[in-house]
Amino acid sequence: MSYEIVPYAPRFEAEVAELQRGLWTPDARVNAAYLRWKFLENPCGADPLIYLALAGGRVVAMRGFFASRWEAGGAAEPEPMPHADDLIVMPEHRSRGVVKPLMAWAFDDLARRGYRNVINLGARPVTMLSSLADGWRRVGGVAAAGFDREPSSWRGLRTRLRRARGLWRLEEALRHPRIADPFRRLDRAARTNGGPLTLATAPRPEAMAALVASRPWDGRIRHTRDSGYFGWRFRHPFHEYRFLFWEDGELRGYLVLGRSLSQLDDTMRVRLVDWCVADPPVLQRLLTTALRWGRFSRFETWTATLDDSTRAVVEAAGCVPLAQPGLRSQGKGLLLRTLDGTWSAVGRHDPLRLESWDLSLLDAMEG
Amino acid sequence: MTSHDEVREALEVSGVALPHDYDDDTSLIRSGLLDSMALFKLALWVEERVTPGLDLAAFDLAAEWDTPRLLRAFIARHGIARG
Repeated sequence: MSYEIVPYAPRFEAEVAELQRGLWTPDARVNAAYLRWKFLENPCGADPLIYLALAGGRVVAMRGFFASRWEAGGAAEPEPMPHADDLIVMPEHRSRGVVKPLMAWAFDDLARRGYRNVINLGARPVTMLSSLADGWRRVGGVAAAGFDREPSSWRGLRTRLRRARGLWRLEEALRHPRIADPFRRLDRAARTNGGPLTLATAPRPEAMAALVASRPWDGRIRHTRDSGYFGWRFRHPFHEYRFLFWEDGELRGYLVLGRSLSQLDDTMRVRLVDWCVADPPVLQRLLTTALRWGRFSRFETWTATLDDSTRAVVEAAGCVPLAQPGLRSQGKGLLLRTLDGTWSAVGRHDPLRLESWDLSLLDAMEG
Repeated sequence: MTSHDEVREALEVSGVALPHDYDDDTSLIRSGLLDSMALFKLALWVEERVTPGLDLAAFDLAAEWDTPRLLRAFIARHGIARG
């Protein structure tokens, strides 16, 4: 079958939202909102880098690249790197050679637009391997760490419900974000709290960006965190966030917890997606308080590029490595692909060394 | 040593439709002969034959697995003795 590869245009919005019911959320209206937020309202770049494969005039596959900007010591300006995401192919068009021409078209277009590199932090094993076959390089794993304290009896019950004829809908209902709310205890505990720590459901973009800008920076490659970015990023249409702020006359630290509301995800998994603190003890206070108040059953963060003192705080909070050895359960990683063939430095850093990077879950749409 | 026939069988089990002129120098990766699922199944097969496991950051898959000959050489370099 031959496919026509085209760039995104607004007339495809409804078809894309429908196609992505297999990857984003089952709700096409939410998907349309996500599409607009991610690609059209993104302050890192609002030119939608979305590539579609058409068969018979219908959208059958999509690859998106959302805009991201990375600053690095030695670089005068942040470097824009389109972030590959959202690869989906209609089931009846899989294994028919649609992805290769779609990606080739996308890379040619991105190179023409002047981008040097593309990045991916969200590939699962199958996509990761096909990406490596297509010239991507895996720089290293993100080293997800956390815990899973869900009682095995509850997990077993959910598995039995999922498999039982006629009862899978009950299992699905139990995962509905209004029922499965991992922030319930956190919210309740915070209401009775006094003192320097406050919990909020909305970010404080200006104050958070000012805190980031005030902290010493080792110059490693990191995503830009300005007020515009914070203001946009936490409006993710199917994620929910909690913000813990530590104030002592001025903002001394923040910590952001997130969870997905999509029934295609684990709605009970809480992710530590970002933080910035004036000194390590503040992080320890924020994290231990969040975990004590929230008593989450499943918790996750990325640890690959943490410094030793931060890693110690995360480990002391009970986080252990989540990825298992082996391809099937291998965790996600940092994938890069050069578009100009040079693998040239970002600022003064070699992008193919994991030590060059300072990554957090917020940098991926998982966060 | 992994044989020519073992690689061929692994490819067939992975669901790859081998061309009539398939030989040790047939391009598997750069030609697009392997789709993503076939590549994943082949990688699981390779993983069983190397030690201490596949570190995907440590080699250039597109270059080092592109033909059956290169794939056998990769396994020979990283392989474990199979009884």
